[in-house]
Amino acid sequence: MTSDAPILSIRGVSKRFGDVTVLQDISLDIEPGEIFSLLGPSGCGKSTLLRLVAGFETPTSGSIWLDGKDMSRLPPNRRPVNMVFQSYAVFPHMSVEDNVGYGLVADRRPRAEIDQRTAEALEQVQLDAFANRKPGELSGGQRQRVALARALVKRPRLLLLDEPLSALDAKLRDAMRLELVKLQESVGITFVIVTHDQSEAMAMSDRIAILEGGHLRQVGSPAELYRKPSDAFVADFIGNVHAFEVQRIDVDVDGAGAGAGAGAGAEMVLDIASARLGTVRLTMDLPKGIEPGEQAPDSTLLVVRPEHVSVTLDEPPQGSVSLIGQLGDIAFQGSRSIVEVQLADGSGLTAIVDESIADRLQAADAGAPITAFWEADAMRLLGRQAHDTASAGTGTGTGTGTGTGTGTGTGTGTVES
Amino acid sequence: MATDKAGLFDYSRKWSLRLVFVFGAIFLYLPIIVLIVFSFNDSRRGGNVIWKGFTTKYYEKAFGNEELLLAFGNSLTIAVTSTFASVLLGTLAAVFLWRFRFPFKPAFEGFIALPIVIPEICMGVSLAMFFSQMGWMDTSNRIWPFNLGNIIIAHITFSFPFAAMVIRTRLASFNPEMAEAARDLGANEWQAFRDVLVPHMRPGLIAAALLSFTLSLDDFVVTFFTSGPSTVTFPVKIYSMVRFSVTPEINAASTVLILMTLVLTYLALRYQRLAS
Repeated sequence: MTSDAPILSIRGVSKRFGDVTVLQDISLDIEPGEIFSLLGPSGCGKSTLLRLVAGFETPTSGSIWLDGKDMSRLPPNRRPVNMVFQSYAVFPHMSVEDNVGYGLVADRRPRAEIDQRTAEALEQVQLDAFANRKPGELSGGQRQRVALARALVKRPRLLLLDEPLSALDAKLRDAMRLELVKLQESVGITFVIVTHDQSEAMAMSDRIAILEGGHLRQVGSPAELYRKPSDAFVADFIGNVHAFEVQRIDVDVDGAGAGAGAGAGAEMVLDIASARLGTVRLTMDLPKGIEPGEQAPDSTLLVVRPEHVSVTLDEPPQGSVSLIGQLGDIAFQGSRSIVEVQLADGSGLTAIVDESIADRLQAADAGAPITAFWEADAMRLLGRQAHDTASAGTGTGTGTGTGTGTGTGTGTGTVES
Repeated sequence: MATDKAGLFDYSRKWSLRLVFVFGAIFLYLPIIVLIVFSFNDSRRGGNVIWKGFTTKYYEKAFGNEELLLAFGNSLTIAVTSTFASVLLGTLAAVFLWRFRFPFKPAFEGFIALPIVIPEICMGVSLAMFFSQMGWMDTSNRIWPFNLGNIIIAHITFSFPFAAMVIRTRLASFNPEMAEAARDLGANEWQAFRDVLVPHMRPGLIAAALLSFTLSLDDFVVTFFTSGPSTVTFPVKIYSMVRFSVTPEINAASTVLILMTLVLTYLALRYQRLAS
């Protein structure tokens, strides 16, 4: 977002339908030539945001700028932006060729140009042999290509894709994912993709915006979102996390500017008190908005990703954070296995381990005592929510004093409630 | 699978069900078949069920009957005109109800459907009262086809709700993303309507037109109340002929009408199949 000429600039956009606020003060810039994903659970407002960009809705407040021009009030047919709809919306009564040429006919281009560009677009999506077919004779994947060609033939500044892979079967989805990225590279058009599937977004996007409850949670590259999530929701949505409630933060090292610590890069040692983890010593920056001292039981979480958790039947290594539980199910997944550890309070913890550990665990009885452990550095201290929409989130099993450790499932549920 | 035992859903292979089917078919079509067969009967009375030999003279007679031909021409004119008007109005009403949200919409939808359930006799009387209040009842000084205006208006009032409902039902299956896609690709509101919505509605439009046409062509009650002394339609004419005496000429005229309806329906269905 540092480049001085974003192709699309969404500035303070809010959208209300009657009393329902669907989007709240969204601002983001999209750079030319990138694949940008709008990611979030259903009902987060991502599709509405896409429809605002396409022109099917107008913002209640704020504005949308394309190439430095305000297009918030332009009707969809006058925006240099095209969309691939979730249902593809291929016109069933027109041939493939007529579908693809439709936008050019509407623009009153000369016949020769229409024919030539249509043929090119069909070639681009490898449908040149199907030009005279009706959409009813095509498979789902082929229909999607028609929708793609139909949008690309107009050479839009932005191509909007609404859940482009959700209607395809699993095998085709993986192939199409790669193909979309290749197509974007070859045409050089900026793609904006709406999706609820984090792995899809991670695999395809240059940058991702995470939306939840109409708020923009975080914008960043997939790696940034994974490594430096801004809050527990993002951390849990981009890959899973185990979350532990933090009751008290003590700053060991002199933390003069504790609140501004995140930007300043000051190191501080925190004592994290939690009923089960006990005191954990961490060296890290205090995230923005988290102050040393007593914490409300649901405001600050210490999270660790399952892939950073290991298990052992013996003593955990010195210096690691550990929890004792019982061995639960082991799900074999080839080179890796997912191990479930049953904790004393009934919650579960999953660890992702490699073959050698899994083999040893297979030999042990179910319910055998086992220790889950991880490096203290693997943990992150996060606010439950970066926005002030929180406080409603004391649901599912995390609120009690004993149940401080929460599995992945409960962690998500709490944030969403 | 065994071939001699009919499965639970093999209706066509159970003799009891076949019997029901045959009786049903006889019940429905025997009167029509009798009507057609006896249009060729060489007898002076159409109601006479004694076969007296084959003849086509009653067809010649029917086609030579100028009053009957005039009534037939009137009926066709009324049917064609009111069909166009009904389909147009029905389309507008259906699209309006489908596209917009407005206060009292359910009440409005109910009002549109009302003429379908109101007894025809009530509609006939109310329309007759309306026309006489307006001073339109005497049509004898108007030239053809304007003397049919009353009947055309009356036919539109009862057939347009049918058209609206048929088209509305068809619109329910329209994916709004289609219209949005057209808009997104550069079409304005009108172009999106013409290029995407109308093609989707087409089967509904054809069905609505067929329905309106048949409703108008064979309407007796409403027409009887709203036609002036100088305007006679085919069903009204037949009625007056039957009161006088039933001759094979009526059978012949009715057979021609049945044939026309069949051909029209066949063409409409064929066109619909070609379009999809």
